Amino acid sequence: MNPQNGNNAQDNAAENLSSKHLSRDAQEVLNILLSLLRHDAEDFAVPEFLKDNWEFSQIHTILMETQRFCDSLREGKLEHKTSAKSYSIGQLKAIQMELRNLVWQMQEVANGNSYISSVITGEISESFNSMIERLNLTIQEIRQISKNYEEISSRDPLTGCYNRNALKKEFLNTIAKAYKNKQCCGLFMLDLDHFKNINDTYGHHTGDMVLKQFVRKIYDTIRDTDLCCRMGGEEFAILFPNTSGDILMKIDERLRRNIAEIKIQRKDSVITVTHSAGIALFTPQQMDEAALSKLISFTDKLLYQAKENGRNRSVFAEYSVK
Amino acid sequence: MASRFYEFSWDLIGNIEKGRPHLGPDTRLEVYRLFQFTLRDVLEQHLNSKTEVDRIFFEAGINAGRHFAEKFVGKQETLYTFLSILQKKLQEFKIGILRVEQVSQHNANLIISVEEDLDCSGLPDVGEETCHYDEGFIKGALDYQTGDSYSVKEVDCWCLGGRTCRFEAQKEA
Repeated sequence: MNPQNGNNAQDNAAENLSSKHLSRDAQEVLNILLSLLRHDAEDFAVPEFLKDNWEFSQIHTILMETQRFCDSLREGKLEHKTSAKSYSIGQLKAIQMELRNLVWQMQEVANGNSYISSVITGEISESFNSMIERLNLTIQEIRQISKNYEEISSRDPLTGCYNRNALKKEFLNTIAKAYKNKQCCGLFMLDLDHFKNINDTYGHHTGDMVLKQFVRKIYDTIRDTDLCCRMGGEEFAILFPNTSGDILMKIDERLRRNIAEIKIQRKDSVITVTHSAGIALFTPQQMDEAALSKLISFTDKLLYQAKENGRNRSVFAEYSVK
Repeated sequence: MASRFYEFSWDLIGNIEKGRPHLGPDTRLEVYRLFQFTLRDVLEQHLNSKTEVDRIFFEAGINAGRHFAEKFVGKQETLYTFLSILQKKLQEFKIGILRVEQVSQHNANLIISVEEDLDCSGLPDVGEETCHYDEGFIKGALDYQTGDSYSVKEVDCWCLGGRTCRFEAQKEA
C-alpha cells in the first residue's frame, strides 16, 4: 500500500514553474480547462492537440461524470453509479448515500415502522428528525386517545367494571390464555335479589349506590386477573381463570359474606342486599363467540335455578365445552 | 486441530473495568489501525499472498459480526429493528455511522453504508478496497439476524477514492 504523495508532487511542479512565465501553450491549456469547467463537459469540443492527452482525458471524464452525477441528483434520481474518482464524486456519493438513507427511513415510517434513530447530518437531519419526533408524538397521542376511547367504550360508566361490549373480547382472550396454560376456569352469573324493589322504594339514585357498592365488594373479593362484567341492570358475570371447584366455592362464600356487609342508611331504614348466583366450572377449549354464548346461557340457567329455589343462594355445576 | 486455544468467547476480552480502572475502555484509533496493518504486514509476508490475508480478515470479520450482534443487539423481530439497534451500537462503540440505503423485498438485497469507518476512513486511495473485515462483520451480523447466508461486497471505499464505505449484501440462494 504505497500511496503517492500528491501534495508533494504538486509543490514541486509549482516550484519549477514559479520562476518562469507560462508558455503560450500552457496558458491555452488553462483557458481550455476554464472553458471546460464553465460548460457542459459532455458537449465540449476537445481541441485536436489534446485528444490523445491522457491527463486531459482524465480531467474531462471526471468533469463529465461529476456533472452527470449532479444532474441525476438534481432530477431526484438516487441510483446513479460511477467508477470515476475525485474528491467531488466522493462527496456526491456521500450525499447520495444520505439521501438514500433518508428515503429508506421515510419508507419504513410510511410502512408503519416506528422511527428509531437517524444519524443524518446537518440541517437535513435537524428538520427531518424534528418532523419525525413530532410525527411520533402525534402517533403516541393518537394511540393514547384511541386506548382511552377503547377503555371508555369497554367500561360500564356507573360501576367501572367491563360492559357487555367488552365481554366477548376480554372473556375470550382470558379463556384462550387459560386454554394455552391448561387451566380450569369458573364463571359466575350474579343477580342482585329484589333490586327492582330498591329502585321502586328509594329511587334510582339509591339503586345506583347499591350497584356501585355491590361491584366494589365484588372487586374486594376477586383477584386482579379475574374479570367482572355488568351484563345489564343488576346482572353481572365474573370470569375466574386458573381456578378449581373448591376455590370457586370459597370465593362464593367470601363474596356472600362481603355483600352482606353492604348497609346503606336511609331516613328510617337500612338497606341490605343479597344475591343469587349460577356458578359453572369448565375446562377451556378453543372457544368462539357462539361457544361463549352457550357457556353464559348454561350458567344463566343455574342462576335462574338459584332464584327459583328462593334466592340468596348459589347453584354450582360443571360445564363441558364442546 | 485437537483442541483450540483461541476459539472466541467474550471471556477472552477480559474484565476491562477491573483491568483498566484509570484508562478505561477507549484507545486511540491509530493504535487499532497499527494493530491491523502490522498484522496484515506480517501475515502477507508469511502467506506470500494479499488475497489470503484479505480472506483471513474477512473470516475474522464474520466471527466478530456474529458475536457482536449476539451480545449487543440480539435477534430482533424485524430486520429493520435489528439494523436500527445495530446502527446505534456501532455509533455508541465508535465503529462507524451505519446507514441503510436500500432493502429489497424479502430482504434479498441490501445496500449499507458505513461512514467514518474505523478501518478505512481517511486512508489514501490505493486502488483496492481494504474493508474485508467490515465485509465479514456485516455478513456475520446479517446471517445471525436472518438465519440466512449473505454475500457482502464493498463497492465504495476510502481506499478506492470514495468518501464513505458502501456495501452490497445479497442473500445467497
